[in-house]
Amino acid sequence: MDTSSNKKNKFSEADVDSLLTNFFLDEVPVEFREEPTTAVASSSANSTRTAWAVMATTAAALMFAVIVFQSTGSTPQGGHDGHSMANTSLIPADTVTPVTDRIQTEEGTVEMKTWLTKEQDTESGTDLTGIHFELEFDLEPDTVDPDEEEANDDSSSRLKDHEDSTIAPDVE
Amino acid sequence: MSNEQSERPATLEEMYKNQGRELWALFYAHCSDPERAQDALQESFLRLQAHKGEPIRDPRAWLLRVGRNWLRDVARRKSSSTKPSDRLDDMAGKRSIDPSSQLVGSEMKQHVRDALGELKPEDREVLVLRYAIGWSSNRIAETLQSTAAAVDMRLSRARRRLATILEESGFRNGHI
Repeated sequence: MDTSSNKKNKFSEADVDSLLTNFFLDEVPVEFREEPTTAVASSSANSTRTAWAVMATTAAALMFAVIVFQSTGSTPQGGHDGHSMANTSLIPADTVTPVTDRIQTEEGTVEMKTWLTKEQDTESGTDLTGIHFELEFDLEPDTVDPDEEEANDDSSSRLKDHEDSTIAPDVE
Repeated sequence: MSNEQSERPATLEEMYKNQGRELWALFYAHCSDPERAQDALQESFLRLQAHKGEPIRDPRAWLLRVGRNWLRDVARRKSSSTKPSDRLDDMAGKRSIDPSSQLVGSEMKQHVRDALGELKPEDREVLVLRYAIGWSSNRIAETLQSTAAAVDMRLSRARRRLATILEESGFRNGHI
């Protein structure tokens, strides 16, 4: 009797625990790997996902960078569009819990959080929806390049434009 | 009229977002096949979207029943021909790191799937809810209308049974 190989083939509950944990890491489809958060208006979420997927590909060389865009703060105070921060108040109770997505690229992982907030123009009383993005890049270190960082800055401002364009009055 | 039509897809999408993960896990517990579980999920939602009869009181239970029935039908039709092609698809869909290690990994996974398939459905269900989607015992208990203590006992029993099945099938500790 080969007792050493018998012992090697024995599984404890802890072994099974570890085995199943590793097994299901790949077994679960990507879209179900994280707990869903509160539902977000579908059209906004879809357009946001498309935008960030493009961004993630463009900016894939940036390492461990965190870029936060907040639509509420993107318009300068006293801005010509009349929606300056001075006239806008955030209503935290209507903040929708972020939706988190991950994209696995050849260079590494990109994680995006998207969430909505309800704002109100205090002059006109118009309800506004703010779309917020938070991108986190966790990429291979050998891909950092100053030129590409500049390119990323350009694409960041493009995202900002996109973000501003999505602010629209709520449909009652 | 147009309001109703525009609101219904949003409700479906919310349901998919909020319940799709749990339903996928329960379908997986039924078939031990991630892709087929996802097909069952999509099929059940498509049928819900196309449903035109009486309003459905409990959409989650309805989706679960439709998905499980669909899985049973598929299993009857494909019982003898799916395994080899599934394995090939599995390999073809993965990142190409090293073909030989991929083959080994794929076989190991199939081994665990087969072992899970030998468990009692209720044991498999708790293991999938715990390990695939990381639910706590309390949450599993809520879904299965049981108690956390009973879920813990069932989890422990299921792990021991799985260990026995793996040992008996010659699966070696440390393979995954």
